[in-house]
Amino acid sequence: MENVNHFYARMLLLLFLIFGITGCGQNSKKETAIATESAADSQIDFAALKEENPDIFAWLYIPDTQIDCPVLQDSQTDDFYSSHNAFREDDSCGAAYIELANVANMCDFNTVLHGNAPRKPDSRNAGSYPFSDLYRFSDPVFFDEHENLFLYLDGNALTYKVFAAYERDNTSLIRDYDFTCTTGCLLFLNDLYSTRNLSMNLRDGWSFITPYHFLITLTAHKEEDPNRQFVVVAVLTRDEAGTISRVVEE
Amino acid sequence: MRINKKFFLIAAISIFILSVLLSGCLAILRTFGKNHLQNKAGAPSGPIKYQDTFYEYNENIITFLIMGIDKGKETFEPWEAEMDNSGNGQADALFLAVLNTEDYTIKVIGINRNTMTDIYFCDNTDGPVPTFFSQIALQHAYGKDGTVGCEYQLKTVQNLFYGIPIHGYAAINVDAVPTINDMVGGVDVDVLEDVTLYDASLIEGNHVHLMGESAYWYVKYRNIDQFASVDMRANRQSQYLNGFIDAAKQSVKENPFLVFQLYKKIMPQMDTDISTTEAVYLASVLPQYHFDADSFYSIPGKTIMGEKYEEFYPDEDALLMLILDIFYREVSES
Repeated sequence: MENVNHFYARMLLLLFLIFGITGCGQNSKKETAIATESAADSQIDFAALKEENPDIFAWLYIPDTQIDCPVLQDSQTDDFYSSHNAFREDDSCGAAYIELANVANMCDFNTVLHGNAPRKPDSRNAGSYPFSDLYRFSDPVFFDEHENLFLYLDGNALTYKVFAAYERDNTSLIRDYDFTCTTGCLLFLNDLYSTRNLSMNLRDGWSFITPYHFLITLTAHKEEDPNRQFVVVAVLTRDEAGTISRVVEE
Repeated sequence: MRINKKFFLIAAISIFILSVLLSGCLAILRTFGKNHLQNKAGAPSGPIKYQDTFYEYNENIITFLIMGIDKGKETFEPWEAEMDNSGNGQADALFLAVLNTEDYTIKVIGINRNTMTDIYFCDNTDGPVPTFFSQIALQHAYGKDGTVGCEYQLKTVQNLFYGIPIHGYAAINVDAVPTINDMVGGVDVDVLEDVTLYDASLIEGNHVHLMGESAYWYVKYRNIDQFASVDMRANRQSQYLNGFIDAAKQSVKENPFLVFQLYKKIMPQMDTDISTTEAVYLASVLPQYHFDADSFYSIPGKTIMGEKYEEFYPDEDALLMLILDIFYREVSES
């Protein structure tokens, strides 16, 4: 009988370790700035956020979605935040992040933000994934009705117009295209505009993007289809502090 | 006498249990094979909107790309033979076989081998695989080997069809046609075009029971000096495929192991990503599927003489309607 009890105790401990340590959204601390901050009031307290994690450099907000989260960049590893939350704790939900190849001042031609999405949008812990609602842009009605997304920086607020949402091969955009030169930017734009995909949503009147624009691309992929990724591409339309600029190399 | 009765009783129970087990195993294999196939290519996310109407992808559909690979250069244009450095051969026959697991229908879409599209070529560098605009049949020759050629061909066809999921491919060397043809007992056709240059029995208008080499020349022959000879060959290939499916369904009824025997025999001349489990599923369900001459579709479009060679340009609106008709279903609202 004692052996049986030991067995159950071990199994419980194992389950606790599996779900307690590597689970999704299990460790978020309730009363911290990271956990309580929201851009719904158009205010972000970066001092408080950076005190909790200096890797936080922006806050992403998409109205009518659960996407209201910090954006981070680890100083050592590209994908650290794909398996860690904004508190730097092990968490399979991860956090929204950019890779080292992008500069955190949002002045690159295309800043690529990654985030995990749940297997099913209605799963119990869907809200713990940073990009749980990104796939809503695949719905043409939602896409039509939600034109803007907002990115808050320390001392600036940027407005982007979402102009494309589509699925592509699950390869790294940052590695596929050299966004530091005009040729790489044009190649990306050419591939985007020539995409033959019935599921692609492209906003009318937004086919004029050039390498002189500033883009943000949000990417997520479903676990059940590891070969594809869903991307939402938006272009900068408003820069409150007027600090976004770069020299375009021909 | 009592022993006999007992023996028969035990035998009957054993047979009953065995048949229940066998049916159970078959049902499990079917379900497993079907799920396996459907999970191979993710379904497009969400509904789509085309001309103010909403559609959603029909998830009951399983699509295969069937390629007829020609490595013999006698039917190539001289420039095509020059470009086929890999020795992979060209996909001279291209079909999408579309199985609907809900209404048990098969639809076959023929793709003109001269369809002009972006085709990939492997340059062994990082980044996206570069493309150039050319005839779709050449794609297969541009993989570093046959398997990569097939994967590129699948991507090219998928791109032509606006990203529909393709769940598997089979690239069959045309040299295997006599073997496949004869294993289903031959195929009946009314000869559409004179092929007497290679086979004296293939006189236009004659009813012929194709066996061995006759089947090979009937599906392979193309007069490269004649404009749009590709279209005429495609008509013969569609007609042959129609007859072949009829013959195969009949033969499978008579010999349930035919698909396995066929699979084993043509394996050396076939490149496929369809696994044995998936083949078991297909073999078990195919006889239930409905297929006739009306199940054939082709992409409307126009063949023109390019700078030097024939080029086929699909009618994009008609292609979109075809895709929506076969792969999608209308939904009332998003």
